[in-house]
Amino acid sequence: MSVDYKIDSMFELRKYLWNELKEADIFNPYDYYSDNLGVEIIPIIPVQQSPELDQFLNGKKHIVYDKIGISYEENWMICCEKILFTVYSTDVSDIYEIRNLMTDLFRRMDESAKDLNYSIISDHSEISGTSCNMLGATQQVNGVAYQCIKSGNKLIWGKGTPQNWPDLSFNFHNISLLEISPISPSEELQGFLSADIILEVKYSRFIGDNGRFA
Amino acid sequence: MFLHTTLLQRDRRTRQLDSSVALLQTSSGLERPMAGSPPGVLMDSTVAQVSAFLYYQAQVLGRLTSNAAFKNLFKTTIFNQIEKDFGEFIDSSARIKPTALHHMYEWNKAGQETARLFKIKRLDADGLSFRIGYDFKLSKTAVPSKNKKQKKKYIFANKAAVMEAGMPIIIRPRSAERLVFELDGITVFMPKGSSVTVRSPGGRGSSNQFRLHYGRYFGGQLVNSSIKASGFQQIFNSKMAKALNTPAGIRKVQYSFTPGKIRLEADMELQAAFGGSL
Repeated sequence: MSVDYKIDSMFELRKYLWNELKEADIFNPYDYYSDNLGVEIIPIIPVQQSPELDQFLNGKKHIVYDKIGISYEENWMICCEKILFTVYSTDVSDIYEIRNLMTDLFRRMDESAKDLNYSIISDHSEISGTSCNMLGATQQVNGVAYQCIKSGNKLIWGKGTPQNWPDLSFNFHNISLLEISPISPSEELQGFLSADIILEVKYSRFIGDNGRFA
Repeated sequence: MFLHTTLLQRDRRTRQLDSSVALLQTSSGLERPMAGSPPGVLMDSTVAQVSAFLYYQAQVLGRLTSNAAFKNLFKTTIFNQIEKDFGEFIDSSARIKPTALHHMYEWNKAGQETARLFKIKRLDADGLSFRIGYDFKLSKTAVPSKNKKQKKKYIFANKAAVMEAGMPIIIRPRSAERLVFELDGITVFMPKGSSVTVRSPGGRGSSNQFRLHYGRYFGGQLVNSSIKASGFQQIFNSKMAKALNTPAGIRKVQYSFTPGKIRLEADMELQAAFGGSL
């Protein structure tokens, strides 16, 4: 099978952050549904795409990100990236909320990376989120243990805990919070406030026997 | 604007420098036992050998902070990484907030490495510490104009410094009879003797923004992350292990050692490990 060079670690990080923002009721996904495209647009966008989405995101809180730098250390399997997130909102309390959630998610280094890995496993799982019959029941599929949990009135299989570490496209090792800036009026978007959050992310890609991406 | 960057707090640094001197002074006490016991019936090399070994280690460690090659390697390795990371941080910030940092680049090239109008510099200080400052480069590209008829190109060389400081600029004809330029789509004719003042040449959002970002980089975790990423620790550990490797002359069983010879060996090993002269 050929290597997919289109995938990027940032996609996984973005998906994880978006799910957490939705779960915490900080963002309402219906506000970001595009009638023209017929899809939900994740309001965490790379800076290179922000001119195209300016109109769509007009007045809505959103996050713009850019990679500051990517480097490989002496251990060439581990990549180190620094990512700058700028949170925009017209309401200061929204920014506080997003900032606090991101702090809570990403300040725990190895533990933060572990949560992100679990989330990737859960995203790629066909079991997680499907209905089950008995509360507390467990099953193991492809090295991941799932437990039947109650979600609202329904019984569903939970996120899953890996028993043997599965082969993920990206395996995150460490996430740390390098910088949180104060909230200030944005010069770019009139009427908006903004704050920066910088993360340092260390991860490795799934590799073959020769060390190349697999 | 200069920022004093040192890996150790001043008081700790002073203590460490003192301790390296103290180490050399204290180790001089080993010179007598190293010389060996007076000739007798029973000859024992243990005291002399252990003393020589400790004396050698003390000489290597004590001479490290005065080793020019080590100091240079230490400062260069860390500074190069900071220079790279800081540049990338400003580039990224400028891409996200061009209004705030566009003046740090050539016209319409905010966030591009090759168009930077800033440069950080290293200023050596005592011991292993150094200071970091910044300079603004002169702009070399012409001020863009929407007026296609305008033939004469004007270069605003001090763009970065003037816009960062938020200095007002005055535009007036110097030698020509009049100055013709376009302002908000209207062609303005300005006769000799009159002038126009631009209060915030880079826009109000750009003044002091580079300084603010510079402060954020060096005041928080970002600079620490660069120091860690420089890989200095690995270089230091491997080279130091090499220098501390006891030379064959000391490992060989002997009843007496010469301090001068051991000092010379310590110098040679440091030189071999870090290069350069002492």
